[in-house]
Amino acid sequence: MSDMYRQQLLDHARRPRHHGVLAEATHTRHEANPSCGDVIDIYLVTSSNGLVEQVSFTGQGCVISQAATSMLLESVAGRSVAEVLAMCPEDVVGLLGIEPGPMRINCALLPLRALHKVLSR
Amino acid sequence: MDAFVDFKKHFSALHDPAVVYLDSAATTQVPDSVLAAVSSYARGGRGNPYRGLHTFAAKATKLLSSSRATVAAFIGARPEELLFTKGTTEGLNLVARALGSRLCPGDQVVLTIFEHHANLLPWRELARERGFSITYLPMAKNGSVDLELAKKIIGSRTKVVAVTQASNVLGTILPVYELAELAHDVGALVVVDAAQSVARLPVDVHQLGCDALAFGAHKMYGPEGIGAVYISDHLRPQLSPLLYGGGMVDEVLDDTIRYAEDLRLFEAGSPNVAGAVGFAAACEFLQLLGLEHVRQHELELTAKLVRALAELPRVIIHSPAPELGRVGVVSFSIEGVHSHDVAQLLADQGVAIRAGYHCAAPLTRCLDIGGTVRVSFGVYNDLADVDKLIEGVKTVLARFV
Ligand SMILES: Cc1ncc(COP(=O)(O)O)c(C=O)c1O
Repeated sequence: MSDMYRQQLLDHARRPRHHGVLAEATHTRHEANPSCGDVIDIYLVTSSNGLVEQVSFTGQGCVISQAATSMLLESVAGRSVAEVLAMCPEDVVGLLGIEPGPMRINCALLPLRALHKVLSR
Repeated sequence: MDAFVDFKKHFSALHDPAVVYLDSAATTQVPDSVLAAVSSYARGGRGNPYRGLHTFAAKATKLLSSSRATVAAFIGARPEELLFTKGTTEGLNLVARALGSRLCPGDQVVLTIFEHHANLLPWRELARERGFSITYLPMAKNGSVDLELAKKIIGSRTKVVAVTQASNVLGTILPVYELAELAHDVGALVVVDAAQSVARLPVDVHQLGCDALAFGAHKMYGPEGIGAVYISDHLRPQLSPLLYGGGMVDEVLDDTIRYAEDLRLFEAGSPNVAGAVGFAAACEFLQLLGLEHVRQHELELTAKLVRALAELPRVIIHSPAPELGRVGVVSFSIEGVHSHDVAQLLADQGVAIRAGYHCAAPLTRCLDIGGTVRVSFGVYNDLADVDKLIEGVKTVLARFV
């Protein structure tokens, strides 16, 4: 069986980190993946010197999309906006530790797409 | 069930015993007889029908015409009532465009909540352009549409009733005949989306009393990229072509164009002869099996599947009870597991099913189920396939406790 559902992923999907709404968010973004029906809402607080200080999300969907969001947000907390904008799909795949394949890659990249859209505004 | 024993041998794609293909509502596999017909046409020399006098062109013209006759007969139509399209979607768009663009504010088109986007978005777009209204027949408590309610909704403002014959999500067979009667009582036209029914039920357009009926070959053991739409004599004069180009005219002068007066008008461009040949071969394949037998076989598989699923914890079956009439398409969910995760784990075990919204957002929204796992049978499936699926579902349940 594929290791697509390896323990760490299941753990992030089941107990997502940074889950919830950030009332003081400076940036929010809703992103949906029509094929799977995955949805996420991400909330960020950025500082005046260009750091992503706080992160959170709410969402619903498959394990890959929800675990990817949890893991990616965990990894961007405290980094600079420029660094986050420079992240590429391979970075997300690296974080997940699995090769999602052509059918699931959109689930995996949902949070990166959301981050890039909201931070490049 | 005897005719279907060891039936996978007719399908090269299914020779590997590790493959459990349960996604025939998305697309069916192709029997070797259909592949042979398609390749024999090309090997014998391709030609462009109606264009050219040489042997190959003449043969292609003949093949196109005999294929049209075969496909038409398959749904009880005459050849001059059948247009080739590239699939169900094109057929439904052609008809919607023809009918919808004549409608005005105040007019009403009646659809059902079961419609695939192919029979929904064309009407939605036209409604926006033309200002007519769309009313959906909702899902009744019993899982079908309520004919008493339909009688109240379908009225003098109704100009078109467009309905799917079998739901691609739940397998529900809708009462098309009864709806067509209601529609005709008020002078409305009836459009049927038969994408999921033609390979699963005997379909006769004249018995159904519809004005248009669209279907595609790739869900009925034929090739991709070809479909057909039945157009009644009554409807044909109202139709206008979607495409303009070669093959649709009798004469092009500097200041006038004389268009063909037969179906060629709606088939501009070089025809898909290989597709038509394969389509006809697929119809012959189904006719040889007999649709009553196909139906029996599917019902047997469906009954076993539903029984086995009902015994599993956390499994919720969305498809209707058998009394209602259903085809071999069953949707279910597993509590606490997203349908795509189910699909992935099953795929890892060689079991192919479909997960998600199945291009029927109004229905999945109304059921409030956020995507389903859909199993759909074809003639090649057997009881062992059902066992393997159930084993697979059990491993999903064990994995996501
Ligand atoms: C009920 C129904 N209608 C229409 C279609 C559209 O068929 P196609 O995509 O082959 O044009 C489908 C296929 O998914 C279907 O299931």
